[in-house]
Amino acid sequence: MRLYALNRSAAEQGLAVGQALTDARALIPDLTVHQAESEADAKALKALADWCGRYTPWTNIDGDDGLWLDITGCAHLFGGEAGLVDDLVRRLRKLGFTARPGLADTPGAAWAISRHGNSPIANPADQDEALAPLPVEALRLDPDSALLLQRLGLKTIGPLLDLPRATLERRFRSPEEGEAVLTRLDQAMGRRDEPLSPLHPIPAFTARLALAEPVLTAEGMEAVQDRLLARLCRDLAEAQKGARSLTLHAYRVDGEVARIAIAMGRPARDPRHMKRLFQERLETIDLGFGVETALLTADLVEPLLPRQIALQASDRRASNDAIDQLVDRLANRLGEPHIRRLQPNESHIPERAQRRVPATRDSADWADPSRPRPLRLLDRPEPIEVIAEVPESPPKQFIWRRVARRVLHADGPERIEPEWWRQVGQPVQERVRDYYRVEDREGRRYWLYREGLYQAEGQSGKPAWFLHGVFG
Amino acid sequence: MTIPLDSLSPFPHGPPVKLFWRRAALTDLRRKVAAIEGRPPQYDNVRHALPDKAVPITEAGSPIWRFGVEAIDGALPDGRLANTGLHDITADAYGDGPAAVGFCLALLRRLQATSAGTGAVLWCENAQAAREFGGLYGPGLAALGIDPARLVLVTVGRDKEVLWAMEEGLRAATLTAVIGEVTTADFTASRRLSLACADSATPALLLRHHRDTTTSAARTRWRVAARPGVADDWDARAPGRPRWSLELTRCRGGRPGSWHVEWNDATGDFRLAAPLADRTAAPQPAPVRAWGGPHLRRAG
Repeated sequence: MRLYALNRSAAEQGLAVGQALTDARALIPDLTVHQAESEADAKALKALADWCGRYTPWTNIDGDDGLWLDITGCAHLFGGEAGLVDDLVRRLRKLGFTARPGLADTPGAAWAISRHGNSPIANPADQDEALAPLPVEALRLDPDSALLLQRLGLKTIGPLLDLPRATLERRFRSPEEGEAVLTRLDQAMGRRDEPLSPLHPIPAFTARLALAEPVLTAEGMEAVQDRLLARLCRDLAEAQKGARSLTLHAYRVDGEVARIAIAMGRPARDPRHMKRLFQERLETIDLGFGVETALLTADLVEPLLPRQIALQASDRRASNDAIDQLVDRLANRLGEPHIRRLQPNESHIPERAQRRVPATRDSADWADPSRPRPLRLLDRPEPIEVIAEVPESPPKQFIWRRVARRVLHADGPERIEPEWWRQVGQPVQERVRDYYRVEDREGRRYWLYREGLYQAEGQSGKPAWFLHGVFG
Repeated sequence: MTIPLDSLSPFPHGPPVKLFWRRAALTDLRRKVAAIEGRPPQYDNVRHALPDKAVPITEAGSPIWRFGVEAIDGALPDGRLANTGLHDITADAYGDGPAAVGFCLALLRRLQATSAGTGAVLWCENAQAAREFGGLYGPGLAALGIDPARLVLVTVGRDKEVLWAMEEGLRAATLTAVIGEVTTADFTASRRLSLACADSATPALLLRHHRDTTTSAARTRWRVAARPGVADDWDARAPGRPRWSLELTRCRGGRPGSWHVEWNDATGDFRLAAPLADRTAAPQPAPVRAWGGPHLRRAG
């Protein structure tokens, strides 16, 4: 067993990462040791990256123990770069983390300062000077290259910068190795681009509210949400966009982030509508010991052109909007798959003649069926037992769900042939169906069919009877 | 696979088929002529010249939602169904569930014919009820004269959710009607719906399970049972228009009563079923049960 990580006082007493536990115990007998849990660490680091969303939407994880934050355009919200760094370190300390911040113009320089520097912020004017005294390891080099550079006497970044590039490259065994070192050097100096990706996609529109006092009640949260919605919707209107999904992030005092999300069937930017969608979820949000920062992000945004206001309330478009909003409210509470519209489908097979489509989709026109169709169609036709069967005519009596029904009136047959183009290569061949509309002596009406033909009995088996639907 | 030649013809046998075709063609032609002349299709069959005084069939443009049958409208307060109230519909027995849905849709069709009925309709179904007799079928609705495209369907698992969705639909105040199917709804729930109806001036129809006997705050409460109908006008063997026995068990400000009505899909109107044609007046034998014989009786 070896040491995986150390706290400050252990390091001060001469222990090192990678040291055998027995050696460490020999040096310091009362050493406190915990089993390393790298998975839990990774999870905590990710949670911390999410937590940093309070400062910037662009956050990501760096290795096992670092975080990237791109604070471009965010620092002024916290009183400048120094204010942001102070705030970050202070809050992290409250959460029980020791942080080494590094802020610079390039990711490479920030990394170097945070891991090896003394002062957390590099002045853009003298970034070179800030980096010069740092060891070459600060350039994120692989250990072999760093060792080679040290053997060459290039212990810090300063001399490396002064060296002509061609000379530097020649000292390495392979051109690739030299090139890698130069790349890292250029990236730190801002001479070469270093593309990095954030953990979560950056939302196009956000509204953020820092609260002087933590909000503890649902009513308080509602007021916060109102202000965020108003701001976000104003931004959306300016950009002529509408949101399809929104997330409200509540950054709690204890470092947790509570989130609630809503989705809309069509792009919208009506704060009242969004508020109603949030309303129910807001009660479920756990405010803990209070919320100190709230963030509203529009995660999915689509173009939405401004429209003329309807002159009459009965305007068809206005009513369509109201239906869309109703559908959104139902979908957010009950789940989108539960809200459907019926749409005709080009097929003469009864069960394929309709489809259930999302309710926000524009519905196609239904043609009046020329043949009788039942009000309700069973998902799966139920086999029935037919008594007094006469070939090629409707049954005189049948048993469905254990009750015998005598047929008084019958209409049919309506022959429906299987769709042969679906049959190609299918092991089980669908059979011809003859549909009958029947009424029993109690006046109940059913839609029955016989599958298969009596003449074809030899080829495709005995005809079978099914009940497929009921009439009103 | 070879298909026998005669199976390719859709109706491979004799006279009833010809009759069937003729009937279909005739109905179709009448409908077309009526559409050209801009009047509701009429049927001139003597069997339907009933003693009941004719009331205008489709009251297009009129805001009054009613049956169009004097006997029934007369029993309702102000001679109409309340546009701003809840109406309960209960099937008389398990097997009458589809009849109750049919009646409900007939009322919806009457509502859509009025000037207040141009909007969308929210239909909230209980998934269990939908499994019982199947889900709503668009072509069948279209055949009844209801445009399935105007229907928003909500399918959920519990009564509570159905009632919530109905209330939410009523509060939107833009719908023509809200319809829900539940197994049971207590008085409080029906009261809530009634209030929402009144607030938004939207009618609601609540289809209840046949065994549900809880009290309700609805304006009217109907029990519906299927009744054997007469044969079709053009084919003595085919089922004709559906007939239902309606019982108005509760009606605030009206007179409870019961009627036998016949519904006409083509014109969208009710008629009182002629007493003579109504065979239910004669005592009905008990329904024949399967497994009736002792040799077939099963436990459970």
